[in-house]
This record gives sequence, C-alpha cells and structure tokens, in this order.
Amino acid sequence: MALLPELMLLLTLVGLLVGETIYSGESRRLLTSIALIGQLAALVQVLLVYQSGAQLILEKTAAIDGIAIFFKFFFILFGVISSAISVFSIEIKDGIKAEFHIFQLGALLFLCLLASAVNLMLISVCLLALNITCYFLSSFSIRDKSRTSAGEKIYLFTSASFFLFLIPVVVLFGFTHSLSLFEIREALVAQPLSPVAAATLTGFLFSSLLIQCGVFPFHFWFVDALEGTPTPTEFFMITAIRGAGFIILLRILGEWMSIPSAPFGNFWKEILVVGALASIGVGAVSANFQSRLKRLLAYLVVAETGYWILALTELDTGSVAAALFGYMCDALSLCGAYLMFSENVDRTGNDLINQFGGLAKSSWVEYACTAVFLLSFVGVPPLPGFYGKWLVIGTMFRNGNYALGIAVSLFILFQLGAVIKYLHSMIHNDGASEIKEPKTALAFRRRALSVALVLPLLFSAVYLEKILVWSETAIQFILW
Amino acid sequence: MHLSNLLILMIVSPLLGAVSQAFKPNRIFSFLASSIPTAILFFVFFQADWTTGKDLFFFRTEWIPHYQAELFLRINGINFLALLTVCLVSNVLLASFWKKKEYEPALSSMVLLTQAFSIISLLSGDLFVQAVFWGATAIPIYFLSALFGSKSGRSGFHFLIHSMLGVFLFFIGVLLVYYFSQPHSFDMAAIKAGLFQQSTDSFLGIAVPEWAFLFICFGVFLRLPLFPFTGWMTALTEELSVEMLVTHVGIFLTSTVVIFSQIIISVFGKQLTNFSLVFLVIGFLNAFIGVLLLVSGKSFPRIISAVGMLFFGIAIIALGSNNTFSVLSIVLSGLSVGMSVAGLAWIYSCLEAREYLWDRTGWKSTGLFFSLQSIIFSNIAFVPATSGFIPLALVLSGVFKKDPVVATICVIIGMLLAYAVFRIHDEKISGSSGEKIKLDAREKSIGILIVFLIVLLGVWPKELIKVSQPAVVELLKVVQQP
Repeated sequence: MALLPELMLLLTLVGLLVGETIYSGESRRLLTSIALIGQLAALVQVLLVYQSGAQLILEKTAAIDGIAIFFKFFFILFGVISSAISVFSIEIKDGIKAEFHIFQLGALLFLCLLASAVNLMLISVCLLALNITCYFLSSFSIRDKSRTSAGEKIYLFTSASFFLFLIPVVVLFGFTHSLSLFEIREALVAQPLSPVAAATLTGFLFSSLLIQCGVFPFHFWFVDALEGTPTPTEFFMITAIRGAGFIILLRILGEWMSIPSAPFGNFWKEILVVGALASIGVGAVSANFQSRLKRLLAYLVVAETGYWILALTELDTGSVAAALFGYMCDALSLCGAYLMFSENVDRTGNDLINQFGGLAKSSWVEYACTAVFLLSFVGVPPLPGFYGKWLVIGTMFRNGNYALGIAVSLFILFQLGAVIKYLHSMIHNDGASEIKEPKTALAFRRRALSVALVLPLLFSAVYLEKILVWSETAIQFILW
Repeated sequence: MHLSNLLILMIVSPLLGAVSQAFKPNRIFSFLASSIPTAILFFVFFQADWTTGKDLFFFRTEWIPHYQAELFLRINGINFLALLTVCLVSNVLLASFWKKKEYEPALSSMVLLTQAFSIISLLSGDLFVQAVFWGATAIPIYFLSALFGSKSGRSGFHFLIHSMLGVFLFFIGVLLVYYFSQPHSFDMAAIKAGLFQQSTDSFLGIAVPEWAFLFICFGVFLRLPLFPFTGWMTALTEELSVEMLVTHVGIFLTSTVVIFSQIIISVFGKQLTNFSLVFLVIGFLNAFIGVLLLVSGKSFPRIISAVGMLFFGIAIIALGSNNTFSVLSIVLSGLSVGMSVAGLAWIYSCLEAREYLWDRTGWKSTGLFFSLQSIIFSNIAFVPATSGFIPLALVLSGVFKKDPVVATICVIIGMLLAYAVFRIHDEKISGSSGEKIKLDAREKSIGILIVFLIVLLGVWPKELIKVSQPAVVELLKVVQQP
C-alpha cells in the first residue's frame, strides 16, 4: 500500500516499454496518453497513501512520512505537466517521444523512492540511478551535439556529486556501523565526532549536495547542462536534479544538524550560507548579461535555489515551511514559463532573446501568462513567489540576521531586471525575425494549458496558510 | 446584501474586468467594471454617518493566521476621498482612451488592475496586505510604459527598478514593525495600541522604530519618485507614455499619499514630530522642482510629472505641519489633483485623436475645447473657485500655524506656479492662430463632467470636508497624545 505510487509508475514504465517494442506508427501517440494516465493514477495514489499515516517500510530503509508525501506529490505533478508540455513541442519529435516518456518515468520513479529513502545506501542508489536517467533524458536526441555535451556535463558532475557523497557515507558507516539516518543520529548523540572529522565530513557532504543543487561555486555545469537540454525536458530536469539535492539536504539537516550537541559543529551553516548567498548574487547578476533565454532562466534558477537553501540554514519550522512553499511556487511558475518558452522557441526557431519581438502583440494572452509566471518566479507582489521569498526574509529578520535579509531582498531587483529584459523584448519587434503563427487548434490548446497553469499558481497565494500548515505538518517528523 | 460585501465587490469588479479583456476585449464591459466601485462609493457617501470619524464598513477575514495577516477592509473618512479619486480617474481614463487602437485591451486591463490594486491597498487596515498591493501597482503601470512608451524601454526599466526598490524598502520597514510589535501584528490599530514605539532594540546605534520609519519613508520617496531620487524621471520623462504617467500620478500617487499619511501618523507619530522640519524642507524642495518642471513644460509627460511632484511636495509639507488643517488638505488635494490629471488625460486623448502634437501651435483652439482646457489648467494653478484652491488654503493655514516663514515661502511658490501655468496657457492653448476643434458627444461629456467636478469642489467643498474632518481629528489624536 505504502509504495503504490512507485508501483504505478513502474507499471506504466513497463507498459510503455512493451508498447514501444510491439507497436509503431500511429499508435505512438497513445504513449503520451498512457504516460499521462499512469502519472495521474500515481498522483491519486499519493493522496491515498497520505491518509494511511507515517510509517517505516522496506526494513526501515524508507519512510512514508509527511515530507516524502509532500515531495512525491509535487514531483509526480510536475511529471504530469512536463508530459503535457511535450505534447505541444516540436523539439521532441514523434519518433523519440516514447524514449522521452520512458526516461522521464524512470527518473520520476527514482525521485519518488529518493523522497522516501532514510537509509544512506538507498539514498545513494537512487541518486546514482536518477542522475544516470537524467543524463539519458538530456541527451537522447543524439544527433544534436549541444545536447550530447549537456548530457556529458550532467553525467560528469552528478557522478562527482555521487562520489563525494559516498565518502562520508562510508566513514559514517565505519564510525556508527549503521546506514540508517535515525540510527546514525542516535550514535552521534551518544558519541560525537572529533572536530576535524566533523569538518571534513561536512565539507564532503555539502560539496556533494551543492553540486547536485547547482549552487555556487558548482553552478556553471548546471547552466550549461540546462542550455543544451531540450526545452520541454528542461523544466523536469530542474525539478529532478535540484529536487533530489534539496530533499537529501532537508533530511540530513533535519536528522543530523538539528542535534542540540551539534556533532558536526556549525561549519555546515557557514558553508551553506556562503554558497547560497553567492548563488543568489552570481545567479541574479549573471542573468542580466545573457542573450539566450535558456541561459537567462538557468541563472535565475541558480539564484532561486540559493534562497531556499538559505531558508534551510535557519532550521526552524517556519523557515523550512517557507522554503517548501517557495519551492512549490517556483516549480509551478517554472513549468508555466517553460510551456511558454517552448512555444516561443518553436515559433522563432532559436532562443535568442532579441528574436522574440512582436510576440506580445500576436499572442496577448500567452504574453500575460508568461509575465505572471516569470514575475512570480522572481518574487514580485502580489504573486505567490513574493510570499515565499518574504517569508524566508522574515525569518532572517526574526533571527536577527538583518543585513543578510536586506542583502538577499535587494538581489531580487537584479532578477527582476533580467526578467524585464525578456518581457520588454517581446513587445516591440525591431530586428526580430518573422514569427510563425502556430496552428489554430494547437495554439488554443496551449493557451488553455497556460491559463490552467496560472490558476493553481494564483490560488497558492490565496490558500497560502493551508499550504504552510501542510508544509509544517510534513516536516514535524524529520525536525526532532 | 450586507453592506460589507460591497467592499469585496469594489475589488472584484475591476479585477474581473481586467482578466476579461485578455479573452474578450470589450470597451463597454471594461468601463462598467471600472464604474461599479464608483457607484458603490456614491451609495456609501449618501448612506453613511460620517460624523463619528470611525471606520464605517468592515470586512474582516483571516488570510495567513501564521503571521497574523488578514484581509481587513474598511471605509472611513480618510480613505473615502482617495478611493473616489482612484475610481473617477480610472473611469475618465478608460472613457478618454476609448479610440486607441493598438494594445487597447492591454490598456484597459492595466488601468483596471491599477485601480483594483489601489482600492485594495486603500481599503486595507492590515499593513501586510496594504504593502503587498501598494507594491503590486508597479506592475500594471510598468506595462503601460512598456507598451506605449519609447521602444528602448529605458524609462520603463528605470521606473520598475526604482519602484521595486521602494517597495522592498517599504516592506522591510513593515517587517520591522511586525517583528518589534508585541504581540506581533500587521493590524494598524493593534500596532497603535501596542508597544512598538517602546522597543529598545537598536542597530548601528539607531533604535528599531527609527529604522522602520526611515525604511518606509525611503521606500515611498523612491517609488514616487521624490527629490533627491528624481534624477531618472526628469531625464527620461519624454520617453514615458502619457497613459503611464496619468495612471501613475492620477491613481497611484493620489492613493499613496493617503496610505503613507495614515501609516506615518498612526504608527510613527513620534518620529513624525521629530522629523517635521525635514519633511517641510523635502516638501518645499519638491514643490519648487515641480514648479520649475512646469516652467519648462514643453511636453505633456513633463507637465503631468510636474503636477505629481508638486502635489506630493505639498502633501509632504502638510504632513510636516502635522495638524488638522494640513492633514485634511492632504485628503482633499488628492481629489483635486486626480481631477487635474484626468483633465490632462482627456485633453491629450482629444489631441491625439486629431493627430495634433503638443510642440506645435496648430492645436490652439477656440470654443468649448478652449474653455474646458482653461478651467483644467486653472485648477492646476490653484485658482479660487476651482477644486485646487481649498486644499492649498488649508495647507497654508496648517503651515502658518507651524512655521510662518515656511508658509510665506509656500505662497511665493504658489505665485510662481500660477505664472508657470498661465505661461503654458498663453503659449499653447490660447492665441490668434487657434482653430475651432469640434468635439464629439463622448469627448464633450467627459470634458464637461471633469470641469463640473472641478468647479463643484471649488465652490461647494463643505460636504467633502464633513466626510473627512471627523476622521482626521480621530487620526491625529494618536500624535497629540503625550
């Protein structure tokens, strides 16, 4: 019962593999429908599992707790949206749609397992499998050299992240004779590490997770990888790679770093604060100098990740709940933004910002939706992204970190500058190439989907309290 | 229907109107959506008992109980006139720019969004909601500049970045108020009654309430913008669109003045008393720069921004004087400036429809158009019997009580202003080369309505003073308490 969503995803994956092997031609179109139905069913099952309460399963290697459910729900939801976006894209051609869905479902399966994993071995295995699947997802269109190069970067750097993660796992196993997060916690409470060992392990552990999240100084590979990835896949890649790093970070911070005796010292906090602050600064400033849309957005994602990691360093219920809310708003904004980008890239044939002139005039509704998604993403009032960021900044004020709070709030202006550059470029059509109008039926469906994505985003601001309560309930289990 | 529900209708109506324009552009629908709040305000005006000076209609519901933020909407004698200004200016703008072809749905949407956000921030008694929607108005106003301003986008970019910096500073101030109020609250009434001013915490040797006051003031001054932050605006005024400027000055500025005054008087009474001289100087400088801009007013955007700067300068002077006369003048002058800006928007739309340009003398007119324009410009010059005169007289009375020297300087500025306005009138509007411009029925009715309101408020302001005075007295009790 507890692993129903994963089983559903696995079943769908097997169904797709069989379908791809047996059928061809016209019936390929059904593969998207099967993938969508399978993911939707898994989404419903997550809600069913939510009702059965928290429990440890698979010999205590996985936990079906609030945090696992929270992430599983959003991972699968974003998987559904990513599949829906692929329907409209001409970047993912009919001939490779099956591969796209298969790799995406594979990544989703490992992500869901990772969300539940509380054993370092299971975490490591899921992380490795997820990263390899993301490599395939990024470069399965092997005729395009930029994509192969993006895939190579993903493979190289996520492998480095994996091996850096493995070192503290092995050392901790030697020290505590356990791989369970809970048992290691108890062992560390009973017998703390020496300061040198604590600092070394912290260094390895957080370097690994910062690479996985694409945070400064390891952000460059993330930007290049996103640039080379097909536009419809890009959103899912951000969710998967960054989400994996985020959830491991959350589990480790919640279990080990919250121990009152601080067996790892406070070095971890300094690493994370410096990394997050530098990410916000570098991401926000660099985004202003990009001429390509994909790189611009990738830098904005780097900056955004910095905000949520900064929230985690406060390590109290309010700030972690704010980070979860912000992460959710970010992902909702991003999926809408990528739907729009995908359309724009299809229509102009490239992602150069100065080629999008006149799009606002030809597609006023799409332009308005793009503006809502992007402005929410960078945190402009009264859109939901604003609340996420200011809840985090508020916790900094509450804890007396005024200078830090003011600094990060001012970086939002740089992010806004980059977004405005893009939004303004879509209004006047000087120097832009001729824009191909999409087919009417396709344009209508895309318009409907974009409006459908705006609504939950806006409602997340209206029901902010409910989401905060849910987030707080979700983290009760891990924040001891 | 319960009267409190009308407050929700006032917000929902323009919001729905704005969204509907994206799917089914319709001028009449957008105008109706904008007019519903105006109709509600007229209904409230005749129904309510304004003598108490208290909040009249409430709508209160929890929004984020975690942070004690709530949707607390209310109408009182202070915000009523600002709400009326916002709604009337929006109505006139939508009716005036009726014939604009390119991006017309966008124009309606953005004006309606600005109206809706301004209404929420004016109605709100909760600092958080007020700050969020006050900040949100920057977005539709930016798009009015991006869509109708210069193609380079420099002016719009500067506007948005300065606005957002102002919003964030304002928000930092609001967060400081929240975290240093015991118990934590965004409710202005609770903060007033709470221990925020007793907070002994300090940062860099300056007490937290002073920091919060400075952040909020700098935020507002940056956003308007107010001297010394006006550099970008004076340099790029010509690149800003008239549509954007009339929305900025007529809707945003008039509502900001009331919101700012309410926050400063009710939460920062102590700081207002300490900084009153600074306010007087800043206000004086801004009014003076506004007059100078009018003297060099060679273009419509420049005149509108000058009116805005002048208005805010006078409002800051009034705030610095900090007494019943001057605060009442802030409330009344908003309506007067709103009418002036709406009048300028109407003149611009009439000229644009005939492809006349400001820097040509060919549009010098005679007949009805000339007469209406003359009255609108007289209102800008605060001529007696127009709506501008009474607020100016009240400000001068208030300032005279505080500092006769400053009051005398203000009179000199007023004379300079009159000179500047009539110079524009002579050079651009009246003259022998004028031709008779035939206005259509829609243009006539808008122009006559604006002028009627200007004259009515000038000769019969008693009813409006009755609405606001008790609420102003009530508000000032906080500052006058020891």
